[in-house]
Amino acid sequence: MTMRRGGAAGLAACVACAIAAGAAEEPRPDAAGVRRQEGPGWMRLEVDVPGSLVAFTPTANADGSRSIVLLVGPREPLRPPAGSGERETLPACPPSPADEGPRFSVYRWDPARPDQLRLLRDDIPGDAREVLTLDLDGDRDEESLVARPGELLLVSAEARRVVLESPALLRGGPQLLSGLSLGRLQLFGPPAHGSGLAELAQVELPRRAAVHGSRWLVETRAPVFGTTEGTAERTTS
Amino acid sequence: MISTHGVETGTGSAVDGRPRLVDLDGDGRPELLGVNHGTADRWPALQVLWIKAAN
Repeated sequence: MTMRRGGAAGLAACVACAIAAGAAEEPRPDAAGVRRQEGPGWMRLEVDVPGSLVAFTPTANADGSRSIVLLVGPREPLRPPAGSGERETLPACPPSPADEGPRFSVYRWDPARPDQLRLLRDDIPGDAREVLTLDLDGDRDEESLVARPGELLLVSAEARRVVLESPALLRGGPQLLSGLSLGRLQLFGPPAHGSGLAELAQVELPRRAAVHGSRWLVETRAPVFGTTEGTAERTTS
Repeated sequence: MISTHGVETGTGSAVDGRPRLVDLDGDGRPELLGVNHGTADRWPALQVLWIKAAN
């Protein structure tokens, strides 16, 4: 499914706003348990995740290094080891997919600071199933995106914004592939019928986005707000 | 055969059942990523294996 032209341009502006708003990302630190084992020629790290690990993906930083973005389900209390004398209890109820249900969290782990899991957000809807990272604005620092049924969310420490709405997102399971080509973000997933992959949505990305004082500037390949040069300025409220 | 030194890479061990090779530190050599899903008395954990360059 391909998005309508006008909708794509509007979404491009929306993506640019969200990117500009999340530019100064300063996540809150959260202590992580880290176990390290070393042997001749190898080293293994195990970084505790405070909840169920739903998905993770590597992400590129502007300096050429990589971090890992993790989508984490609700924290459930650990049960005492068998034989410790504590009474066994029933497991916690599974998370509800409704917005009112348990929330998921997005963390970022940096190998240069292995003892810290940085909490980006703890208000992700509990039906999110996929996390992906893309450099949407060309600054070589990839943005984090979370997919849930019908929505693609751009998440940072400052904001959580819907950048794409499509009923085809996550149809039939947690599979989502993305690609950037010629200024477009393309999303692929399971088709409505049959197997394989089908294009779910296509979003025109901005060529340039910047914030000047109280105004933001978005330049796209397709015209937005009716201008013919493909450039638009708008004053924020 | 390459040893994974305890990083769990078999079906179902990574979130989507696939191990991942990613060059985290930018040295041109990929690291191996896996997942330990935890037990009743232990949190899940992300696993990272660095294979050091031979001298």
